[in-house]
Amino acid sequence: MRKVLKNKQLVLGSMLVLAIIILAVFAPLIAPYDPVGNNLLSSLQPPGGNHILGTDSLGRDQLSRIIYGSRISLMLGLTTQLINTLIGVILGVLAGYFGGRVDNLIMGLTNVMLSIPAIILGLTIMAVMGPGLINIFIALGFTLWTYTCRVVRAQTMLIKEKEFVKAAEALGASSWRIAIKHIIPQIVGPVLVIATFGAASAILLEASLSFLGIGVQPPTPSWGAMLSRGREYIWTAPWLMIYPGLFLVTTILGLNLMGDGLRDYWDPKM
Amino acid sequence: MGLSVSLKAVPFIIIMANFILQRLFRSVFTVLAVITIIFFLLNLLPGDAALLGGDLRKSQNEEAMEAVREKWGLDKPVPQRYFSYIINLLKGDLGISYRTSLPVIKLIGQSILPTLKLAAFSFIISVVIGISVGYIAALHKNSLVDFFSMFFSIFGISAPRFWIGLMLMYLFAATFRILPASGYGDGAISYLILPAITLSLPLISFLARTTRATVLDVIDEDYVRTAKAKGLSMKVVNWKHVLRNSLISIVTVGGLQFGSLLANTVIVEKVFSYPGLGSLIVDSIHRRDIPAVQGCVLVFSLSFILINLIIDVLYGYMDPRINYS
Repeated sequence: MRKVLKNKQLVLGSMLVLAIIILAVFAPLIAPYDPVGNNLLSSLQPPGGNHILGTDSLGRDQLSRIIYGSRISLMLGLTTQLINTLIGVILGVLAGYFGGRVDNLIMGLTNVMLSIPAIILGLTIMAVMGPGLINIFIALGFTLWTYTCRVVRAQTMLIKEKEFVKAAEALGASSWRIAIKHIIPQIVGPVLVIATFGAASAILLEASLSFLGIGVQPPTPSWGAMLSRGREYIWTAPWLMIYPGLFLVTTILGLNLMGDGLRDYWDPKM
Repeated sequence: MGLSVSLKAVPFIIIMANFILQRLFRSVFTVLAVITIIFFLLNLLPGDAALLGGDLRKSQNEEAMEAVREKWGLDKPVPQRYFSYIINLLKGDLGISYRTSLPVIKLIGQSILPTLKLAAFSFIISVVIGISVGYIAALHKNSLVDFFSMFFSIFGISAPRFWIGLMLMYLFAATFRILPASGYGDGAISYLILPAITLSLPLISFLARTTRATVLDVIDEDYVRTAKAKGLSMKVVNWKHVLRNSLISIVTVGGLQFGSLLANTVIVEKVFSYPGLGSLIVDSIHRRDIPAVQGCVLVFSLSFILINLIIDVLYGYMDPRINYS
């Protein structure tokens, strides 16, 4: 525990992420207004007064929209990383443990996936499926697993040569049992580190795609979509692009600091 | 014994050529796989391509739909379309854009130059600033300079490019009015500055962090300690031993980032309404112009693969410890 507390990056990162989680979970209690309630009489009001962070062109309270927007970013980071980690770990262990043809096939697929830049792949999938919240979950859930897969494969190849695995094999343990009982527990650390950084990239990618207008659609309050509208008001209502961005940066910064901290915790040499 | 002698007799250039050929061969396979995946992704997933290609209103009229399908060859079965696509590709034909009825290759030709200019300019800025900052931070480890540059760089990695772009636009175009907010301005350098800084900030941060970590590793190496023990001046040790040996891995890591820089022009070009490949792909997606999207994705992926190949070969050339087999 002391080791954790001394790790400043981990502490600071976790605090930032925790703050955003609290915002997301208690959004209905914290948000002062309805995030999708229009009120044209109070449109484009600067920060201060009744609306702490001002209002947008439809008179919606920006603070409330930002608070609800944290739900989308966090849900997305969490869900996509669950899917990606699952795919990455399964394929990585298969490739590393069995080697040979299985390895060639999986690594071939991984290399091809890596040859298409993540944002371009995300764009392509969204182009086919059309914009929408569920679609962006799918697009990001199946594109970011390659890194996990590569690291898990390398770790598995190292671990399977260890004596305790050889002993288990000699005792007749099934491959399935060896994978679950002996290999996966050993790779939890690196996988968690990658998943933390991965959540940061997923949130960033969602914001980017929504900013380009092919992600989450209005009136759903997503930070990226809010910034996309904010660009139009850069001359007249700059608060519409400053604040959603600040929250976005805080979330991603928190996750990146946490990732750095976790990496130091598990492997100070890395 | 005899074997090792004959192995040594193989000139370096032949080993190198062999290595390059192998990598080239592997890349051809990757390219083919990428082309195939993208084709099937864009042609098989739900959504009638004819409907996507044309106007949404036409979809209510079955006869008009049929005409659209026939016009773009979408009435033929997918495998047949795939093979004719590949054959056309070999001829350098990327198809006809649904939206503009122009050859896709022409559209790409018009927009690739601004994108390359933006990416190259950003890459140079990033390398120069990123490596310098990281190097200085490492030499002054735990100083105030180190602290600030590392704080700045984790912020730079975490801030989305489009937000950095908007903030810079707000500051320099809307508030101080010293730089143009958006557009291409017939290639004037003032239009390039804000997009280039926006594109490079995350890479500067990344390179600063990588350089710092690498230099700190190298400083602990035996040959650096030997050089210091020999009584060489710190200047010579730092330049000749530390920086030089750090550069190999920095170049590798940094080079790989050039591909992601190119891909991220998509975002930056959209922020600054800069007319490049990124704007082309986003506009084409909005208009459901599948051939144009397909062409752009292909160009992005091909350049990504090409860059990785070059880095791979360069790395092999620079570091003789690499195994070429």
